[in-house]
Order: sequence, then structure tokens, then C-alpha cells
Amino acid sequence: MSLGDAILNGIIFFIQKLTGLLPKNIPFFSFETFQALLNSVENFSTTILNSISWFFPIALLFTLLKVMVYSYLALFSFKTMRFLVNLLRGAGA
Amino acid sequence: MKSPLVKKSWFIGLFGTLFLVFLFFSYAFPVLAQSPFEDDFNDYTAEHYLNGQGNWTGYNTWKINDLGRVYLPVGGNGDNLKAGELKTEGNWRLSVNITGCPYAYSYFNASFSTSSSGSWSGDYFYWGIGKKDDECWLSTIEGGTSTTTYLSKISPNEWHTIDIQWSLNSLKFRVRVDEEDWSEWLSVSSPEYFKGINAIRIKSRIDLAEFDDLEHIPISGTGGYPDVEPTYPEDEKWNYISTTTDISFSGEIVVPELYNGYCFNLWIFLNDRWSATTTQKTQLIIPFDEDFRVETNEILPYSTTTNIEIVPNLMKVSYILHCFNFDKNELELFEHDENATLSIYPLAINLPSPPLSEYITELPEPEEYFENCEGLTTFDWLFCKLKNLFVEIILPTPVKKQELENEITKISTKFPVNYLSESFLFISDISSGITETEPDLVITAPFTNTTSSIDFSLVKLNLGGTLNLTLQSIIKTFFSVLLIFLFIKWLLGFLGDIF
Repeated sequence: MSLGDAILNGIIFFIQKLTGLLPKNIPFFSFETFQALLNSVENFSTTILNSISWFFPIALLFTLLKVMVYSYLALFSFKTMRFLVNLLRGAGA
Repeated sequence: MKSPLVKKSWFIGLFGTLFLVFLFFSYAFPVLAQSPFEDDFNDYTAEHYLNGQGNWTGYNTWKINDLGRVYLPVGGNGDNLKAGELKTEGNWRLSVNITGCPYAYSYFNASFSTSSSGSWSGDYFYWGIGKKDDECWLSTIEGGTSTTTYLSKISPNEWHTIDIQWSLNSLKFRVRVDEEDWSEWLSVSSPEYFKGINAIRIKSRIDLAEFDDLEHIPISGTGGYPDVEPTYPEDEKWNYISTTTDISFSGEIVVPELYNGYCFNLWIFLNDRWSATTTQKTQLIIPFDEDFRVETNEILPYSTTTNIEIVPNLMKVSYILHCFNFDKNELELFEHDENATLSIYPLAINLPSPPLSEYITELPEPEEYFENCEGLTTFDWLFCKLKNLFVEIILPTPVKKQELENEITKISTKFPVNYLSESFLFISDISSGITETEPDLVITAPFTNTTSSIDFSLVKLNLGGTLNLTLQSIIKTFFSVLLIFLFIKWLLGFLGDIF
């Protein structure tokens, strides 16, 4: 077994345990309901946004929004890791 | 204005009333036990034999008297039976009167069984009256034993009601006299053949007994039937099936622990309680995913309808889920059923395993990971070998990478990953669904005689024309600048959050 295999074994073990714990759906708000909601919002939004795209740069807006969402996600991931590391080394949360 | 407390009281009152009504209907109306038939003998011809009247069969011994009761003439030896509708669970009451107990054995008794066209299947249980310690006793014998169980004293020359109740589900019966306490639940005889009761046979060896009114009675509560005792196999999932057509069954199956494996088939069986044979009645293929992959602990619902020719019996649904796990050199075939409580066990068959890559198309061939060092000169060969050694020691193997991908695929269907990925798709879909109309911003440069257009998306530069700003381009450019300005402002704040 290579070093990479050993590391991946640890990651796989973690994911397997997490997969067993995590549910597929939130109670009272199933994934299918969520998808249906997003689809309806998407259809509605597309119509509206198409009509205002004559004078408003929608593509630019979404590009910037994506950058913002990914940035926050990266920041959140970093903070989560820092939180876990702090817990592991006994420094408290 | 009513206070919220008053409103709440009204609400609680409504549901409380409904609850009480429910309780009333649940307990005030007892469960009616079923009987194969009822008979009060009142319409029968007096001083004629019971045999031949009202579908009673047997010998010309028992007779009807003027009061509509059945008696045995002097010197008679009665044995008559009648069959009705098969009842798997029910009770029967018979009113009896005796004038004495000359014999130690039960000279007067009623047997219960199934009968078809007058043939008797044998007693599944009975009650009888005989002598014990110079007194009359009601007795029975529990199935599988030869010991007489004495139940209650019977006073001669008084009418008594004797109730008997049975249950196919538990294979038990019990008896009581004059609505006193029931006996214990006792086992029926020949339980492997017991399908319920549809007939009664009443016998007396001497002219000291008469009977009347064969009827069913209400039994309070849920009927008091005992719980089903586990038989074969040892579980409690038996269901009574009385119909012979269109048996519908459904349920859920939990996929067992799989290690990089697949389930490819599911067989549904109906098992007979007594024969203990698993006769395949129907096969249902679970609609697996396209790649025939199911996840560990995934719930597979099934539902089907079949028609089978069976006598009423206790049946259960079982299943075998065929799965296989990849091992290093061989493909192991597993089967799994509900009695195995999620454990899987190997069959005796071990098939040679095809290469793993046949099943995982994304898996690269091993030679792509190792350089071919053949034909290289000394230093190049050494460098190539070192590189391969590094790859072998440090880098993960393709199989392990694939395992990781599999696990990531699994977790991608779990909360919150699935909700988040759907949200990102939502944003992408919206942005791709927008078709912006490009503004006609044309800048003409008058200082050159050449004409060529350069498309900068928002700005079109026509080097040979004249400057032409439209209203659309002005507004859109204004908003673009505004958005970029707001974004820079946000970015500065975000960077401040980080540092």
C-alpha cells in the first residue's frame, strides 16, 4: 500500500462514516421539493431577467455573484478546518 | 375579544371530544367473533332426526324435540356433524344439558375441525363431559399431549353454555363454561394441517345429553387472541392469506454493506408456513440505477401483485438480493434475505473475476501510471525506475482513487451536498438562460481611412466609422460600472474579513 493509498483510506473512511450519518432529505423539505422550487424560480427568473437584460448586464451580475459565493465557501471551509484543528489540539473551539 | 387561551381551550376541547368518541367506538362495540354458522334448531321438524335437516349429516340418532332442542332417544348413540364457512379465528357457543356422568371418559363431546362433503379432517380440538371424582367435568386434551385437562364442573340437569374460541394465527384454542373465566390458550392438534374451523361434530355415547342453540357471541376488546408465536423461520412476519387470487404485497429492502460492489438482481418469494419450502411464485426486478449500482443501506421499495392457488394459510414474503463484491482476484457472489438481518454470506460459487476496469470505465490502465523503462540508457533507465518507485510508494493506486470517487459520488446525494450542488446548478442555469442583447456601441475613428471592426463584446470599435452611442449602451455601461464598483467595495470588505 502506497502512502497515497493510506491517506485516501483515511479520507474514504471519513466519507463513509459521514455518508452513513447524513440524511438524503431534510424533514418536511425533501430534495425533490427543493428541486421543484428551484425549477419554478428559475423559470420565473429567466423570464424576468431576459426582459431587463436590454439595459442591465445580467451576465456580469451572475459572474460577480458566483465569485462571491465561491469566495464565501472557501472562507467557510477554511474556518471549519481551523475549528477542527483547534478542537484536535485541545485549544478549544 | 377572546384571549388566545380561550381559543386554545376550544381547540383542545374539539380534539378531546373526538378522542373520546374514538375511545367509545373502540371499546363500547366489541369485536364480533366469527362462527362458521349458527343454528337454533327451532325450524326443524319435531320428533324427526337431526340428520338430513339443516345440512346436518351423520347417523339417524339425534332427534329434535317439541321445544326445538336436540336430544338422544333412549338407547341412542349420537354422532352428527355440520359444516359451514371456514373461519380462521372465531368462537362457537353451544347450550348443553346433561342428566348424569356414568363414564370416566368424555361420553358427550363436541369436536371441531374442517369438513368437506361430510368427510371429517380429524379433530383439531374438542371439549367433552365425563366423570371425575363422582362429579361431571368439562375437559379437553391439548394438542400434542395425551393428558386430559379438566376445565370446569358441570352441574347435571341445568342448562350450561360452553364457549370455545380458536385462532389460526396462534394455533391455539380455549374453552369456558357459563361465561366464567376462560381456560388457558391450548395448542391445537395437528397444527401443520390446521387452516381454521368450518365444522362441528357432536357425539354422545348414551342418552343423557341434549343441546340447543349453536351461536356466535361477541367477545369484548380485541377478542383476546394470543400473540403469534414464532415458528419457522423464527420471525414474526407471517401474514394470513385467505384469498387465492391477486395477492398484493410490498415492502422495503435495505441494501447490505457493500464494498465497491453491485447488486444486480432481486427475487421475491412467498413462503408457506408449514411446508417450509420456498416456492418461487413471482420474480420482481428492482429498477436499479442505470449502472446497476445501489448504495449500502439504500432502501429499495418493491411492490407487486400475484395470484397463486393456495389454501388459506400463513404466508410470508422473503427475498434474495443478489450482489457481488469485488475482491482482489475473484468475484464473490452474495445473496441476502430479510432473515439474515443485514448480514451477507458467500455462496459456494466463486467465479473468476473479470478485470475491475470492465466495470469501472473511468479506471485508467496501470501502464499509464508507470513509465516503460525498457530500452533506456543507464541514467535514463535509473531515473525512470526511481520515478516509478516514487509513483509506487507515494501516489495512490488507481483502484483507491476510484474508491474515493465512488464515495464522493455517494455523499453527493446526501444532505447538504445535494442541496448545495443543486443551488449552484440553479445559478448556472439562470445565468445560461439569459440572452443579453448587445448594445450598439460603435466608435468610429475619423483619423484613418481603413475600416475594420473589433468586437470587445460590450464595445464595438469600428475604426473606419463615426462614434455612435445609443441609449441602451449608455444605460448598460452605467450599470456595469456600478456593479463593478459595488463588487470592488465588497471585495475590500471580504479581504478585511480574512485578514
